[in-house]
Amino acid sequence: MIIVKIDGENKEFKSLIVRGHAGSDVHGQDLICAGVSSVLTGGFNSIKENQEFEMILENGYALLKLKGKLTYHDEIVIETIITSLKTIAESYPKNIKIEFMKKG
Amino acid sequence: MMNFRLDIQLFASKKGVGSTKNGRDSESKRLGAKKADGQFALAGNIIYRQRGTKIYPGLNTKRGGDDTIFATKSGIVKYERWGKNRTRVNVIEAK
Repeated sequence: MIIVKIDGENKEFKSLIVRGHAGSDVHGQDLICAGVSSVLTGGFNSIKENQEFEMILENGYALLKLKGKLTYHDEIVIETIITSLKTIAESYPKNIKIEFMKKG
Repeated sequence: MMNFRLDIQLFASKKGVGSTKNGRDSESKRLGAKKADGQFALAGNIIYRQRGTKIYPGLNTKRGGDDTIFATKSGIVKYERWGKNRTRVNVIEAK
């Protein structure tokens, strides 16, 4: 099960942490994992102001954390990443779950 | 050049975790020679356990129902080539 933890959305975005394995099939044939990997890799590569973020993308773990200023462009990119992950989670709730961190 | 290269199985379970359908085997039957060349064998002793006729019966030896070769007389075991690519075993009676 992949767990996606989101702290803040749109202008209030702070961080996005993705952990775990989809486990929908063996390595090399896991389609859910392929979807999540593509969304995250494509999304991370679309971020323009890299220096404003801490970004980690490795086996079974991804981190996108705002350190500096959030530009409108990067806000839209992050919104696309989150919406894409929500879309996958809606169809495959057994393999990926979205959690929003409580405010305050 | 992108910051991150796509590994399309980044969030898949580890490599090689799949299960295997193998892993079964029957009890080994300890086949093979039980008396070596030049060794003394009593009548009735088993000389060679086999499936099929790797070794053929020769002098003073017989083949059992499970193709086992055994001695019918006491004596010295002698393996020898037989024909182009066969082997047989004899028991030479002690004088």
